[in-house]
Amino acid sequence: MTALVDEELLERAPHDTSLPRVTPHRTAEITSHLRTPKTLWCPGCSNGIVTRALIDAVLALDLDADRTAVIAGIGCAGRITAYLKWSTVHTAHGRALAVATGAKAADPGLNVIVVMGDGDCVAIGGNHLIHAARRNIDVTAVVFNNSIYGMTGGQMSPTTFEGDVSTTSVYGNVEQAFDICELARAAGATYVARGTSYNYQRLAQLIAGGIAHKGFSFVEAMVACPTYYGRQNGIATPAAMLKMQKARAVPVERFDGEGARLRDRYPVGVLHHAERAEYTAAYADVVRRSQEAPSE
Amino acid sequence: MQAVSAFASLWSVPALPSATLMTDASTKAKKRAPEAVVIDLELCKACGICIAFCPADVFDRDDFGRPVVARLADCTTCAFCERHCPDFAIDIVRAGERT
Amino acid sequence: MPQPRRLIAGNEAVAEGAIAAGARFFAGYPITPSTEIAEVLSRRLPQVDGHFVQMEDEIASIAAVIGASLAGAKALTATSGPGFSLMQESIGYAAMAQVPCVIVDVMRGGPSTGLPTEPSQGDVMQARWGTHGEHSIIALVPSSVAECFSLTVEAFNLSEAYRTPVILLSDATIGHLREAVALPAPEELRIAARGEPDVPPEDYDEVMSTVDNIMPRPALGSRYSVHVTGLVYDSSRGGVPATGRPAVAEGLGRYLREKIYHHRDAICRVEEIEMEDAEVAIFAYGSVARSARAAMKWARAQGVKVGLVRPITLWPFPTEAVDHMAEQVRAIIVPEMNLKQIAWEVQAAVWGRARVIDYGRIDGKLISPQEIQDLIRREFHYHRFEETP
Repeated sequence: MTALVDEELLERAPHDTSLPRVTPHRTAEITSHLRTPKTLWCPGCSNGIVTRALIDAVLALDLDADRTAVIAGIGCAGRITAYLKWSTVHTAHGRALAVATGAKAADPGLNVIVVMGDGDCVAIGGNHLIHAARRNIDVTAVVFNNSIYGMTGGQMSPTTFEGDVSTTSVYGNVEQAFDICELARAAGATYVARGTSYNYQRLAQLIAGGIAHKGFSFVEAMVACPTYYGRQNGIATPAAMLKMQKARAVPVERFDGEGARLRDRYPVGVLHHAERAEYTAAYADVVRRSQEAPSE
Repeated sequence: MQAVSAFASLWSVPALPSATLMTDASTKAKKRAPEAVVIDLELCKACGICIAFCPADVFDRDDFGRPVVARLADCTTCAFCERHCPDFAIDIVRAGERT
Repeated sequence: MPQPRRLIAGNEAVAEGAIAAGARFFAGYPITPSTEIAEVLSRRLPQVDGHFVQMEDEIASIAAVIGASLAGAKALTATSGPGFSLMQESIGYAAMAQVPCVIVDVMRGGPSTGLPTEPSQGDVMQARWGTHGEHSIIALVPSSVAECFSLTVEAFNLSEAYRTPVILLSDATIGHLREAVALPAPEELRIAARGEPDVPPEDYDEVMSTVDNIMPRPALGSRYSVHVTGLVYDSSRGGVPATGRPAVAEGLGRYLREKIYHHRDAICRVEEIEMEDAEVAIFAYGSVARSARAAMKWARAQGVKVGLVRPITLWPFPTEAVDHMAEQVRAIIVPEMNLKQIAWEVQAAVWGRARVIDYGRIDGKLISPQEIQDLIRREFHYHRFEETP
């Protein structure tokens, strides 16, 4: 099988933010990696789009399917584990990154992709996010951010905006939304990117870039939930939600940071890319040193 | 792996469907109408994304809200519908391929 | 080949037992009185090409243990009451998803922060029912440093054989007790390997395990495609969720129970001492069993027919051994560092055939042999007992 990443390319341009090329595949090829294409996701839910982008990213990198595991939390996004044909783990709510840490540490050669919803990742799973980022462990977290708890019927999440209506904020949410990319970056993630379901090609590339990056990669995929977020906040159709993504997403090099962040405008692209010691590689050095030391 | 595309160049064009930015294979082929745009009605959930975004207005909508291929000749094989169908219900048979 | 005796503490013996059993992954969080297990393993695991990680909390620890086990490693964590409480959800996940792993709970005074440095046996019922839902579990209770080693090995073997989490219920006394022990040599130990299913990858989705053929799950990253979930699942379809099918839910639940209970004869171990002619039995476990044994010896020295039944396996509850005991003796003394948690189980299994005399102590102090002697005295109305020195 081909290598996970073009090592020679990275060596030549270690801080280049160029992304792997992704050539989207035909539907028949995409669905050959699914146990079934018939998903339980709502009409117009972007989860299927991001799932496709993930498959395209994995195919673009020519990953060995046998050596790839997708670990996901609980929520609509977590259902991806029942659909993907690769080895998948559907964890307890919020614990996907901790499970992934164990799996990657026990088998550092495993390609580990972690799929979470926004609530799973930054509410109940928030602690595990910041520590996985701090450790810079080589897994790729793809967060399906629809700013709502969809599976449980439309409650607010830590990425729901101020004023938004949800079933647990019927008078309007009074809490500020996380900028989860900022959170991941501040905690130590060395690849941080945001994309939209609208710009499919770019999203697939950002995911591929994250998988190729050696270190903790964090990709936020802006996802539409028409049934709960859309309906409760006056957005009529799935297409309208995708159009809003198109209107709000600003390429990072053009984002001036002014105006309401996240709700009305947000930067997309590779927001942060750095290189520092990856956790399993650093621990391999611990193993080596422990065996050199004189025994007790 | 083929050469990566430089980040900046992809943002110097309007945010059109990404087919215009692909440089593999023949660009001319992308502007040709495909052999077929196949809608799997078992999978389609009538979300309306394909109909709303088609830049060539290829689709009509049936009584259930599902797409009907009405103007195949206008299709440029941009594949926006295929990629943005959340239910994997659209399969485009490219020009020159067999159905 | 006889091994040298060395002075070793219970917690360190647990760590060495894990290494001997083939454990190569530990994730944990510091908590008194278990922390030495983490400290020893942080030093020892890299020496044997294993991995140690101190996670951000106990919830992350048990989750990482599950991840490592799914990736093919024998994995364990160690904690005490408060951390054990935090781990309950994922212990249930491991039981449901059939993930082999070992959880060491070095019990301390509770509830809540309680008595961090003092022993108790307050978590024994939590080990059985701490996680929600109908589930089964295996729990072992060491009462010596030697058993800290050997029962840790056994815990791993049981977890692999039955694809289940196994809990090792130590306590603050046993954990910090130092005894001179000759640890078994590696070649003397039986170590269960995880193994691979006996069907090829293309057929794996179609095969169901049975209680007599519990197929191991292949590791993530093997040539098998596995799907692991905490939802009710249908093993014959590769473990994908089947929440809409009541028959599958019932079948899975009963399979998970029978997987263990069908084999309870092999799993349930007790030690019986001087029970052949006993009129009264003491049923004691863990550190309390040490005091019970001393009390029993004292009674025998007075010519009083007392025996000791010491459960080594607490869950599944050794009903058969209790049944046997109930047929023979007229009274069963159950001393515990809790308030009757196991005495209730004994009472249920005894079914009125003998009197169950419970005795509880929850002040963080060991139940002494003298206290158990007093219970024996009272039972025998025996005022001619010599006073203990």
